[in-house]
Amino acid sequence: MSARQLHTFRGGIRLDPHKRETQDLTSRALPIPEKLILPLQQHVGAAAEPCVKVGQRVLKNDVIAHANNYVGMRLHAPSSGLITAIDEYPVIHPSGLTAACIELTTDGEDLAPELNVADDLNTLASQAVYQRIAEAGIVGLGGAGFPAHVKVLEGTGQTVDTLIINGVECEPYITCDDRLMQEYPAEVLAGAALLARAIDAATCIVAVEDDMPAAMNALQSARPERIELVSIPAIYPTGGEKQLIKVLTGREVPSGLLPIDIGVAVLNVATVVAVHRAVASGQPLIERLVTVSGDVSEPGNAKVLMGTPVNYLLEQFGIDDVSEYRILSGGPMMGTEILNLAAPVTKTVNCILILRRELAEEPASACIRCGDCVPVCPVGLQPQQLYEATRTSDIDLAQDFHLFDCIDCGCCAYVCPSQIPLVHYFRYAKSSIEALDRDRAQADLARTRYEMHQRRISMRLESGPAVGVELADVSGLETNELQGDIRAAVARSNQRRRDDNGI
Amino acid sequence: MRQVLYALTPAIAVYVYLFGCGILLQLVIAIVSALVFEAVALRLRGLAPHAYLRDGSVIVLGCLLALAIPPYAPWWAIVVGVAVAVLIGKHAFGGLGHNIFNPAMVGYIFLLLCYPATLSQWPEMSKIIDYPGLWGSAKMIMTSPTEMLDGISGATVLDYVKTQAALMRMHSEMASAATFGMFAGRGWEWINLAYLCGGGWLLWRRVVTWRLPLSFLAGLAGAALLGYIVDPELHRGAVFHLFAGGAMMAAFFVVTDPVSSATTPLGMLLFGFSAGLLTYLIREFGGYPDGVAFAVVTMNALAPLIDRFTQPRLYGKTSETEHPSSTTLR
Repeated sequence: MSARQLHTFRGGIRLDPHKRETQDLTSRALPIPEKLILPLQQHVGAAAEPCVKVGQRVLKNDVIAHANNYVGMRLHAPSSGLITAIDEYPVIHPSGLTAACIELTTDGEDLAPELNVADDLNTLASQAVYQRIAEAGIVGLGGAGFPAHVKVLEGTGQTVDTLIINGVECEPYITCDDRLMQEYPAEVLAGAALLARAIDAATCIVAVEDDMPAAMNALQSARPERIELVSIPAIYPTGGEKQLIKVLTGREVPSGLLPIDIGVAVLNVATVVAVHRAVASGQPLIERLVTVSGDVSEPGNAKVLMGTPVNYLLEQFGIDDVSEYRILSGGPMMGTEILNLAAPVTKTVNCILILRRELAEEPASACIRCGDCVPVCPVGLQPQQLYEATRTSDIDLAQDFHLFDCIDCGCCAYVCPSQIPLVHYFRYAKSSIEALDRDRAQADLARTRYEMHQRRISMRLESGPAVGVELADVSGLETNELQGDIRAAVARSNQRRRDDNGI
Repeated sequence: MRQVLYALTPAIAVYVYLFGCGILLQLVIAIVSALVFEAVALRLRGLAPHAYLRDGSVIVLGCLLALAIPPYAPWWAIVVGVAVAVLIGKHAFGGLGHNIFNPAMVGYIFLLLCYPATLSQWPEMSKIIDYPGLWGSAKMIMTSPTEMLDGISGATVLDYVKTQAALMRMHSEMASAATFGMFAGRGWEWINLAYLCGGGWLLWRRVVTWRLPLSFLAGLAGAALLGYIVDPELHRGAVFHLFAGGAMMAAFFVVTDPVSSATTPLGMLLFGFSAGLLTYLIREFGGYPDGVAFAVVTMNALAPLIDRFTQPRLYGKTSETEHPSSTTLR
C-alpha cells in the first residue's frame, strides 16, 4: 500500500454495499448454452458488419463480424457451432428495442483453432499491443464499452503520466471485478504493467474500495512492481471515471474533455485482464464475469459467454419465477431494467440484479425544491432546476443548467423525498437533444446538397454548351472496348440532361 | 410536514396562555377551510385530491396564516385569507412545488391590504384581560361584536414604536411604556421565543437546514445593530427586532419554505440575509409596523434570479469553460 495523498470529490452518498452476499464466493463456470445471441452493437461505437452467412459453421474465437470504423469493434464466436440466423432480437435497452444480432447454435464441442501467442511481452511494440487489443474485440468492461484499443492508442499518441486501473466497484451488489482481482491478481498486475509500458505512463495505480480487503490482499500477494495499490473510501460514485481521477490525483477533467486531455487514462480491471489475455495469448474477448445478486437465495458470480440469454443465466442460478421481481442489468443506481429476458449478456453487462418489486410503489409526487439533491450531486449540478427544465422540455434552460455534465449516477433520485426518477428525465432529455442535433445536422446537409444542386443547374443553364465540350474530351481519348462503353454511357446521360433542360 | 406542525406547538401554547382560546378556534377554521379549498382546487385541476391532501402542506399553510392574524379576528377573515392563499397563492401558479410566492404570506398580505382594521386588532399586552373561554371565544369570532373587540385590543409593540417615532419621540422617552417586556415587546418576546424553540427543534431534527433561518436572523440583527450603533435614540436594537412581531416565525417557518426560496447554498444565504435586511428596513423606515411578509414576498420574486447567479462550481468547470453547452452545442 502506498502513501498516496487522496483527495475527495464533492457530493456522493454512502450506500449499503450488499457486497457480502457474493464477495467471497468463487465464480462458477456454466455449461455452454444451446443458443448464443450476439448483438452487432455492444458498445458506444458503430455496429459491426457480419462476415458470416446463415448456415456457416464457425469455431470458437472465429471472427463473425468486422469493425466498420475506428470506434468500431469486431465480434468473435464464443463457442463452436452453426450460424442459424442474422436477425432482429430483443436486447437490453431501456425502451425494449430489438437490434440486429447473429444467432449461433452451439454444438457443445467448443472446438477452437490454435491461438496466436505472443513471443515476448516485454519487447512488444506499442503498435503491436494496440493491434492485438483491437483484434481481440476488447471494449471497456466497466462502463459504456468504449473500445479499449482506442483508449490505448490515444494514450500512445498523447502524453499520459498516470494510468489508473479502476477496480472500484462502487455500485451496490456488484462484485465481478472484486472476484476477478481475487481470482486473477497476477493477470491484473501483468496487464497493468503491459499497458503502462505501451502508453509510457510514469505512474500506474490500481484502485480498489476499502470494503474489498480480500481483493487488496490478493493483489498485494501477487507482488506488484512499480504499480501502486490504493484503497479508497467507499463513497458512491467514487468508481466513476471523473470522480476516481479526482480522488487519486486531485485533478479534474475539464467539462467536455476526456481524461486523456489531462494526461490520465482509466481502464477497468476486467478490461486490463482481457487486454493481457489478448496480448499474451491472442485470446479474444468472448466471456466475462457477471454478478447475479439481489433478492435471490443463491447469488454469485459466473463466467458467462457473450450472447448468453439472460433467462438461461437466471436458470443456472435456480431462478425461474421472476413475476414479482425487477431484473436489472447493472447495479441498483444506474442499471437498466431488462424488459425481455431473452435478451443476451453483452460485453458491458457486469451484473444481473434481481430485486423484489415494492408491493405498494408510491407514485412520484411533486418536486418541492427541497434541494436535498443538490449536496449529493458529485458534479455540482442542481437537479431540481434540471428537473423543471427537462420536465417542461426546455432544452436551452436544461443546457444552461449543464445537463450534459450529468454523469447519470442517480444520487439525486436516490435521496429525492418525492421519489421522482430524476435520472430518467435527464437521460431522456440528453438523448432527445442529441437526436435533435443529429436531425439538424442532417437537415443542414440536405439543404447544402439542395443548394449545390440548384447552383449546378443554374450554371449549366448559363453555359449550356459546356456539356458538349466534356463529350468532346471523352471522344478524344484512346479507344478500346471499355472506353467505348464509357462514351456510350456519357452520351446517354448527356442526352437525358438535354431532354431534362429542354435544350 | 407533521414535524413542522409539532414545532409550532410551543408557539400555540404561548398564544393560548397570553390570548386565551381564540387561536385554537382560528386554527380549526383555518385547517378545515384550507383542506376544503385545496380539495376544490385539485378537483378543478382534474387531480385526485386524496394523494395530495395527505402531504399536509396545506395544513401548515392554514396554521401559519391563523397564527399571523389576531386571535379574535372574525371567522370570515381567516377563511378569505386561506382562500386567497390556496387558490391564488398556490394553485393559480400550478400547485405544490410551483408557487412563486409563499402562499401563507400571499394570504396574509391580501388581508392586511384589504382589511387593515381587522388585522390590527391584536389583544392589548399591557392590560390584564379576562379572556373568554372556548364557548365565549367561538361567539366572539362568529359574531365579532365591535365593543368587545375594542375592549381587548390595542397597539402591538411594533405599532407603538412606529406611532411614537412618528411623533418624534426618542426611544429613551418610550422605554417606560408598559408595552415593553423584559427584552422586547411584552408578550411578543415569549411568542418569538416559542417559535425559536420550535425552530431549533426543526434544525436539530434536520427538517430545515441552517442557511435560510440563520441568514435571515443575521440580516435582521445585523441591520438592527448597525442602526443602533448609528443612533440608539432613533433605532431599536438587534434583540428587540429579533423578538418582535413575526421575526422568529418568519425565520423558521416562512423563509424556510423550499418551494419559494432560493435553493443553491450561496443563494440561500443571500435570500435569507436580504429578507432579514428588508424586514428591518420596512419596520424602521417603511409604512408598516412589521415588514416580514413584504420582505419575504419580495425575495420570493427574486429567488429564481438568485438561483441562476449563484450556481455552485461544477466538476471540471472553470470560469473560462462556463456554459460550454450554450457555445458548443447550440
